[in-house]
Amino acid sequence: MFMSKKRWWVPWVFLSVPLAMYAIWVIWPIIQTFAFSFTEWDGMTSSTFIGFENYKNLFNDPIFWTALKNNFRWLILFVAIPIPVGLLVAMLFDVKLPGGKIFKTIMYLSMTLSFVVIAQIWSWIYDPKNGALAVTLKAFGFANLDELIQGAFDFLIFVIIPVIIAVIVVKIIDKSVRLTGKKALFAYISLMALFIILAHVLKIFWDPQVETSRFAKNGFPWLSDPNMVTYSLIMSAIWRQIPYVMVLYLAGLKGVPPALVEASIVDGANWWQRFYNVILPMLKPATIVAITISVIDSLRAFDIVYAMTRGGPFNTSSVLANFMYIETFNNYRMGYGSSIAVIQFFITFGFIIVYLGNALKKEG
Amino acid sequence: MLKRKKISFAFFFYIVSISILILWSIPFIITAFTSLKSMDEIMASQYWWSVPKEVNWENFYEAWTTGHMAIYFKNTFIVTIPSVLGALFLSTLSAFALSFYKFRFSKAVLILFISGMLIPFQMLLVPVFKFSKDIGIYNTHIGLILFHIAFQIGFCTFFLRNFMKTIPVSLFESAKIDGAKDIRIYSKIVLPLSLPAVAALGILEFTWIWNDYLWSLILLQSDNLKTISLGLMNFQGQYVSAWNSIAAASLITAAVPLIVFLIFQRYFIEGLTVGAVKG
Repeated sequence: MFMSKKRWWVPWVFLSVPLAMYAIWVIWPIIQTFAFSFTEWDGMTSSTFIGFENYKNLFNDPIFWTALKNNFRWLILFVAIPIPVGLLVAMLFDVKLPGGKIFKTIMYLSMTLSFVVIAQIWSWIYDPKNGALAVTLKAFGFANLDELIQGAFDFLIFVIIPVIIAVIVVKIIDKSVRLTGKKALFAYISLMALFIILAHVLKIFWDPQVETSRFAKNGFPWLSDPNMVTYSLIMSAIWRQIPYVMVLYLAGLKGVPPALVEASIVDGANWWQRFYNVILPMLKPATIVAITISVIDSLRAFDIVYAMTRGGPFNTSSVLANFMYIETFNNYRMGYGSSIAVIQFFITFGFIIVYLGNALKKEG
Repeated sequence: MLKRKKISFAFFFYIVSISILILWSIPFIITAFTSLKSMDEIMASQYWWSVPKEVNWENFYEAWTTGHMAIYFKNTFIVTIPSVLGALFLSTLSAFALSFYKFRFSKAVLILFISGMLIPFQMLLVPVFKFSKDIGIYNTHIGLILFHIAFQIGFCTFFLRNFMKTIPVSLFESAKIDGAKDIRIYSKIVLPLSLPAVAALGILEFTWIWNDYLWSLILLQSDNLKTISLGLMNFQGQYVSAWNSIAAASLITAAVPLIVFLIFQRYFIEGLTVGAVKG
């Protein structure tokens, strides 16, 4: 660490050019956007100050609320799916067996693609009639989106929930009668089978129907059905996000000392205890980073929405970033667009603070 | 007993991981197959994404010539390479200052750099667009390059500072006593030691800037200046139904980052993790 009262200016000499450029193209624009958001301006004639008018209009704009709702869908699914799946895949690929390296490389490939390319590739998969997804689902006996959703719902009620109940029951029995090894396995399998059968018997008397009339009955309109389109966009973005989360977790797993895991095996911990009590706590820093980055990425989503649907049909897949772009550069409402950006900024702000706190923690 | 367990585990590993990989690669496989087929073959079958019956390399030629891919390719190189080099060079300077000097506001400057890299891009769109028009660099490569450099300085400084912090100061204490100038310490000691980190960062930045879409869309207007992401979108718009050529164009667009990644995979992955986890 160099420090000298006389030569205080030395670090500033090194910082001068980068900081000046950064100030011109990043910091000053941020301040300007705040100012622009209080004006009405078409980008050519001079602007007029209109106070909070833009914000008032924004809160009365139905597209704004659709975009905001979609942003939250992005946010929730971008955490709920890539984080656990990325962790699972990382745990799997952390195994050192021949070929593992090539497997990882193949997994990473989607990360190198631009969203424009991803949008193109996925629009073929989403082709409503003959796309790979539609044809595969048809092969499994689903004729349209309606039936698929009903099928998923039935699966949840009559398979997943019975399995969960079975696990809970086994855990309760386990508390009074110690179940070990084969006995526990037998208990799990037989109870799961029993509950699934019971649920299907129940289905004869009680067969709830999902309200699906809002979905088109014609094939699989992944990108043209207003209720489906956002989820389709999110799925294709997740394809790129999961390998990234996996990279973060693989780095985190490198930091787990093998001795610790071995010690827990000696102590008789089963795989779940080993994972839950030993490995997962060690991965906490990686998890925090993965979650904050996923959240920030989800709020920045623009390219894929713009390239795949332009926010359509009828703005139903719009997100704030896309809405802002269209208002600003297609409708020439620079002030209005700026106010959308400011809202986006405030939503992201909290997560930026979390990231900063985490990044600067080690400095003390 | 133990050995048997090991073998069954390996079996489990290969079955599960190979099925995941196949599932994961379907989008790639479909694109590759489509790019090699004739339009007749695509139209003939409901399963148009199946294995091609005969290989048609002409689609790539078609995309390259009618899609003007050569121009877009050249433009993207013209934008990407100076942007990466510029951002790397300037960030080594700022990271050096923030790693080895104790001075007022050093933390504030660091926070500024980190938070700038995380904000939504929409916060910058209107002012950067206006500024570029005002000073006459709108619709020029230099305007886009300068923006990329400035914007990437935030992440690059953060990244390089994390690395430089791990260089022990004792390494150049003696040089300091000998009266070596700061600039010599930077160029003769810190910069050579940071080269692996700079390389990792360079690979990451290269793919990011190559793949950029939004800023080229905002700052470029003339067709003969556009970068490859914009070019692909144009091509798509014009040849909506020529799926085979569009698939070929998509692969051409993706080729450079893919090749860079395959050659420098270690650096790429290292870059991603140093940039995120250590921070």
